[in-house]
Amino acid sequence: MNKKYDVVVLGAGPAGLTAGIYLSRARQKTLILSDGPVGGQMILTHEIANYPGVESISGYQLANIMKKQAQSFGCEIIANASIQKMELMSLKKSFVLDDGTRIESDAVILATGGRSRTLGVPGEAQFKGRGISYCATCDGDFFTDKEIVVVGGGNSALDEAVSLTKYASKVTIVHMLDAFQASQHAIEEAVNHPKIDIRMETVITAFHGEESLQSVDLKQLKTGETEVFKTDGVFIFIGYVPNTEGFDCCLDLNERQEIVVRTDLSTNVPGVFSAGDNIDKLYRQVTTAVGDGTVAALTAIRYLTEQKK
Amino acid sequence: MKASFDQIIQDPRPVVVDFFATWCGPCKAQAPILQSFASEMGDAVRVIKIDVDQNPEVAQRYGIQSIPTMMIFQAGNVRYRQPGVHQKEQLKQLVRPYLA
Repeated sequence: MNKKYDVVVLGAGPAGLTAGIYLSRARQKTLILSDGPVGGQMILTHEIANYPGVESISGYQLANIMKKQAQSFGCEIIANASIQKMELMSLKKSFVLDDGTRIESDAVILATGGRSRTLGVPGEAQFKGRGISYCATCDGDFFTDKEIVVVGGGNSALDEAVSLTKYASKVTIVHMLDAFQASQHAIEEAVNHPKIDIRMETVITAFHGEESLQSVDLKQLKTGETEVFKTDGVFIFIGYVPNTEGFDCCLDLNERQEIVVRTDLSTNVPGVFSAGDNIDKLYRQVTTAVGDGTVAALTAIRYLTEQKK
Repeated sequence: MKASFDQIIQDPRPVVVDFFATWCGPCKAQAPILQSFASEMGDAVRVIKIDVDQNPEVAQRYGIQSIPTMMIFQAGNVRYRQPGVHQKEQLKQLVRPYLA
């Protein structure tokens, strides 16, 4: 089966869904294509309280509203798709799905987002879901009255450490640097919290346990001292890696593998635009993703208009 | 529930178990995928969902500390276990070695 669109948006997080809304509303035949569920990383968030115009909403609910909004303007969405082949360099962009469906478009917006960074130390894969978590809202409840460790020193690490004190009896923050990279408010809240202990310039070098996690090896970077630290759970919040695998063939990526974009969110490949957590930028929020989706959609529309002249 | 869960996993067919909670976003995203997988596989596999809040003993017995967690049992043996949203193709590949 062959399908033709003006624009294919790759990714169904807030950036992709917003691009879908703007494109469809501008009467561009649009398909949002995603290899994951609708909502992207948003659905991992229990409560979003800083999305202007909405006092408080779960990430899953917000994603569903954006989805309905896009569909109401005629945007098509294929989520959980298995994409076999993708061609971005040609003037006509194309995708082949595993059921043989061939999709063609004149422009593409890459809104593939990112995923949690892993520590990459021994035992991490083994104890994922057996004590190691990357999502406080999903898994916090399993650690009620337990002692846990939070790894990281940014806003998400500190905010999640504080929120995990609702469940855990004690939270130890482990951070590799000598200072936190977070807002003053987040730092003060964590540092002054009676249930939170802090280990600076310290890293986890291994995870140990049997059925589930029992301890971690901690290493103090300054002194080189190591210790076996007993813990029931470890939550890792050390940032994100962009989902840009396979794009290095044709797109300019920076040293962090993020897509290099111009201010109008065009890339080095004509007809390919990018938005959201996979681009080279400073802040990754639902609101910034939504802004990116808007800009990329408007730029794509301008590109399509010029092509048709 | 406990007795029937123990019976269900004795099935000679692969039994796919989705440990979930009603308040978890990724679990909700998993639901339609699992539904579609179940209807496509028909009688070849058995698919069940375990609400960890309603069935804490089962979740505790298997040390579920992350949701969603997908497990595959066959004839009472654990064949697979991994947290996170699973795609349909992935599930098909996972059960393939255990199909009659």
